Amino acid sequence: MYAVIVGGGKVGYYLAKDLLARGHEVTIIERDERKCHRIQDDLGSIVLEGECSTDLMEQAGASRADVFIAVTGEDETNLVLSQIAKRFFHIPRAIARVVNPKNRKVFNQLGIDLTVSATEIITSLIEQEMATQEILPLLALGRGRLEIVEIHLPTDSPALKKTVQQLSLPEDSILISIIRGDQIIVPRGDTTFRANDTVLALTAIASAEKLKAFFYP
Amino acid sequence: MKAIVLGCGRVGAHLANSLVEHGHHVTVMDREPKAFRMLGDDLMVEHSDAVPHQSAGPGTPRAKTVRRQIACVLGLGIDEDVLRQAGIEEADAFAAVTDSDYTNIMACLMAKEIFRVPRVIARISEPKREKIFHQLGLETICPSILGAQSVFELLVKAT
Repeated sequence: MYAVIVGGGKVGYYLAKDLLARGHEVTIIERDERKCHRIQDDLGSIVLEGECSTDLMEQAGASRADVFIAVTGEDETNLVLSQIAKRFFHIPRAIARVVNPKNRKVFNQLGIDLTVSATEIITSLIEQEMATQEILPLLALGRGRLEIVEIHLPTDSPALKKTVQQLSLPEDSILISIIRGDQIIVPRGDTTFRANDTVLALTAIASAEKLKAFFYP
Repeated sequence: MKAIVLGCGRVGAHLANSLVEHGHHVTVMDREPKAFRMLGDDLMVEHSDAVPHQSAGPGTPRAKTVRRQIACVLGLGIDEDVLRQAGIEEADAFAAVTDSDYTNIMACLMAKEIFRVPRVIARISEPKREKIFHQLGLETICPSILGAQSVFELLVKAT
């Protein structure tokens, strides 16, 4: 796989290092001379120095890239470059880093589906650790219309001792798996729920509340 | 016409003042409070809608003051909430004239595709980028090219 990365800061650097270690081809575009030297010294000649432009993207061979990753510290730069990557270089996948989590929705609305936000990841990790009675959104899909959620079954859950079949869940929700201690169970119609099970489900956002009612008293 | 000008530098301030002189309703946005001085201190007639300064992190909408008939909104131009505060939902025109091309482009894409503002114009500093942004469906102007053209015409006419 060939990846073009814009932004050679900490995120871009370690990302490149990781991708190289997994045998992928990588080019980093970075405007800061010192960062370029550091990357070159550590990872070899994979850097193009300069303000990322269509010229530099062309030099980087963007049109044969499989993935474009914009991880500078500026949301506007990441958004615009991802759009250029998709529309002009027809790179099949463009991933943009979002610094301000609020901008994720904006990116999606403007056609950049794949976004990564460190702030959001940390927030959701904290929520996962803290939350008790909540359905935890793990991943948004389909432009935010679908999500994968995690549900922890409390000891007084109405679903206890019932089978998947008996629950008759909302039509636009489906169970992916049940985690019980070290065991991962693929749910079938006759699988029964137990207290402290962790249920992973794919659901339309609109049905998340309905889904919740099946598992929480 | 209700117009929003993003970026209160020399271009933005001049544009805002011209619009007001022609009887339009103008809101200027900038992330630097000092920038609004560009509008001219003597023009200031009132401060209004002042929101308390507490808990204002980067990008959070803060004070809204009025200089002459120009409303000033402090905050990032690519922040949905700040754009809403500037009245983008009712705006007839949006001009992004900060010195950052990408900020201008992202703000204009938001204005055009999310808020459906009928007239949207971006200032672009790098002439090479202009073509690309036209293809993204945006109207752009490049002051460096315009300036060069004017100087060229004057020079050629003079000889």
